Amino acid sequence: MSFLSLENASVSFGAGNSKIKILSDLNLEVKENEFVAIIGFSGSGKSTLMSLLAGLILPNSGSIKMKGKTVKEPGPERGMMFQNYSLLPWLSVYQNIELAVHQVFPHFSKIEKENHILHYLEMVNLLPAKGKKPHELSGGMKQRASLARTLAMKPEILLLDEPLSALDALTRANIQDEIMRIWQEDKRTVVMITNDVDEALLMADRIIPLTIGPEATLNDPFIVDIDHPRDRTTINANRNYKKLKVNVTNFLINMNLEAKKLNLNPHIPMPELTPDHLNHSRSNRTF
Amino acid sequence: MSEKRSDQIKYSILKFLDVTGFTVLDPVIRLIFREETDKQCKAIGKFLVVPILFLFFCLTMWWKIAPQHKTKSGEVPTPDKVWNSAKINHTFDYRETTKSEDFIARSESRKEILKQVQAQIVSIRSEAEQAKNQVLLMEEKFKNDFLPSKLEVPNTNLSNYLTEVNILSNRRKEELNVLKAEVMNGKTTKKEFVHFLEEQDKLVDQEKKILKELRSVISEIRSQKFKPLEKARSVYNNLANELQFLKKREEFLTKSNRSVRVQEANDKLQLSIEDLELATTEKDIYLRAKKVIRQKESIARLEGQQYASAVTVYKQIKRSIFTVLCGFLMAAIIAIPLGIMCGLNKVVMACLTPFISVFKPVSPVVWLLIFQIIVGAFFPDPETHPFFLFFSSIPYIGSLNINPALVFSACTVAICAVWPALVNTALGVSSIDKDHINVARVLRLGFKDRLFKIIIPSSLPYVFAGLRISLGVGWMVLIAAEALSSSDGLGKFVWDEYQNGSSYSFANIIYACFVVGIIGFCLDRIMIVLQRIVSFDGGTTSV
Ligand SMILES: Nc1ncnc2c1ncn2[C@@H]1O[C@H](COP(=O)(O)OP(=O)(O)OP(=O)(O)O)[C@@H](O)[C@H]1O
Ligand SMILES: [Mg+2]
Repeated sequence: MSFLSLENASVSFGAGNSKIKILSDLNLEVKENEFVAIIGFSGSGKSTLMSLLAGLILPNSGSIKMKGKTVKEPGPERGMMFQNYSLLPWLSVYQNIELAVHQVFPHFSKIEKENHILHYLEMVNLLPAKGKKPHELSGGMKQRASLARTLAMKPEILLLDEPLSALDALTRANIQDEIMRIWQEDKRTVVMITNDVDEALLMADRIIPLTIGPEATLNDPFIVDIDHPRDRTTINANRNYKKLKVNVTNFLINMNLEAKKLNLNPHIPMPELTPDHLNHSRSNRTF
Repeated sequence: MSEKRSDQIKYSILKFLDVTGFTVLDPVIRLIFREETDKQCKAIGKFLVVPILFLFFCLTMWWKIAPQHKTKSGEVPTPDKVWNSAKINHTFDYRETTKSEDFIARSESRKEILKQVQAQIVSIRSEAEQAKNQVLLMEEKFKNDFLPSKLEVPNTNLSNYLTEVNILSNRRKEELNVLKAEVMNGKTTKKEFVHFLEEQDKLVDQEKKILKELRSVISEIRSQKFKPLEKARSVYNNLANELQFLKKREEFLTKSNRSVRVQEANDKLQLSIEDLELATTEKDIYLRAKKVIRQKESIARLEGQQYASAVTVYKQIKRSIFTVLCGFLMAAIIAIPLGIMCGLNKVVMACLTPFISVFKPVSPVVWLLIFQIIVGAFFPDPETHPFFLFFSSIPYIGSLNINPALVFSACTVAICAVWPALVNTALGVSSIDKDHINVARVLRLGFKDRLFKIIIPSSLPYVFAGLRISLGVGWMVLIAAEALSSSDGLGKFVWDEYQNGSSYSFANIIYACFVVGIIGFCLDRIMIVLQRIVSFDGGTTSV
């Protein structure tokens, strides 16, 4: 039995003439302790898919099940990290996380609660900014605060909507490691949206492309059969990795071309840019 | 280290200015701390000096234009007259407070004050006598100067006028006599005579016009000459008033003083008690015992007595502010919960919308009359009603003389102020960011948590924006309501001055206009500060 599943789910927005089907006929099976990455172009409906998985919107047809039970409403066991962060602007970073922690772990003592919050703030490197209000934070800081809030809820399944898109390379690599560690050590299940193929290949067990909307649907997954834990310094050498990267990239390019109905040469030479470069620069430069 | 401290002080002052909305003073503070002096000087020039110059320009225009418009209550007062009326009101209030303090002064301090007052009386009396002599002197001089023969006319037109009028009237009379004779002997027809008389009327009008101009020229000269006399008189009047005030003080410190009168009454009581001891017949004992009881009662009454001070403008201000705050509080207590319910629930919104739409545009005057009737019915006998007795027993508020008029004024303020707060709160609650609701849903917050942790905090800026409008509306409504219903307060002050129509009353009305405006401004500023405190986006609030 799968942990989280979509069966022929479809989602439409609007009513009457202006009704458009954003997602159609989605089928997805996420196993327990699996790491699924979803890639797709902007506006194709990835965030909508996330809201669907979280239970924030209900499918117009088909169904969504978690552990065999139909999902009817959102809940803290499916921890959602919103693409636009959704921090409460009248609360400081600390208080934002406190609100979630207080609700999810009501039995925590004062000290337990504080330690818990500080632990996650430290994880995303936000301890110095814990007293700041969201409007005093940079985009990347907000993103990290939002991630810390989601992680601090310790949900069974993490639904991360482009969690690292606004971060610099170094912070990004650090937090990637943290997410992977949490996923492995705490045996969580993760569904993550990303636009970065390297990131998906480094972290995920499966990469599922979402076709271009409207009526976007999930395509056949790419299985990333590289053993965990993966090391970003050596993964470039992995033959599987290279092959997958070419496949996924080509798939995306083709999908885009198909959508645009343009007849261009699909074999655009890819720049030889790999996470390797990142690591070199990391050792040479001091940030 | 010391530099850091001064920086801290600077930034806390700047922050304070920012929160209170006095950002115009920002460059001044920066200049004092010597930060980019050139830039600050420019900013001060643009945003402080220019507005101040403009203010002076407006004052001068006022000064120039005001006296040209003559009204029933005299000329439109100039700024100095308004300032003077502010001073007079201040003095009046000071005197009333002093008298009421004198009235309750006791033993040693009473004697101390009495000594000072008596010394002042002596010195003021001699000053007043001098001033009086001065006035008499001036009056004499004025009478002499104003003999028509001695009138010096600066622009020589006066004699022209007189000769012109003389010529006109003489010609008219002559012609009339000639024509009368001609009509009699048939040289002229009667019809022509009528025509001639019409012409004559025109001449008379012309004469009148010239004479009128003449009169105004004379009165102008007269008033120029009159000025020193007027000044001497006002000096004397001021001194006489001061003297009268001091004499009144003396009285309040001696024979009218509360403790003195209590003492006297006690002495009498002592005598009566002795009398009672001496009484022998049954009837005498009864009557004298009764007398003792009566005297004891009157002493008790005397001890609780306060000076019945006249109503000064400051008292009216206090009362108006108290009333507007009561009404505003009532409005907030009604509007905020209702607004939240409207924002949360479409059914409640649908139920209330007709009421809001119909009652919102109703004029405050109508509400005032309605509440006057309703509140009047609640308190048929206000003097003994427990509601008012309760309020009069509260220390500070008791002195404001809470009565039904205050209650219905406050109710009128409340009903007019309720709408902006209600509508804004409903808007704030219903326009809450969907993302924030999603957070609450993911966390499965209960209704109470959702309300107090998400909905109310997120709508607070709207709520306070609404409350700010409400307070502004309430203040405007209150002044009108007080004027209309003659309920004590600033509005009544204005109305009384209007009815009174003395030479100062127009200036007093304009003075009240400034007082109302400045208080309204202060109330608004307080609301801005509150609004800034609850706003979480760090944005500025419009002033
Ligand atoms: N509440 C809504 N009402 C109507 N249309 C919507 C709504 N939310 C999303 N859409 C539409 O659904 C489509 C998918 O939106 P979605 O936010 O899921 O895209 P996305 O894949 O997450 O894009 P991005 O990568 O830019 O975040 C868009 O075309 C958008 O216009
Ligand atoms: Mg999205």
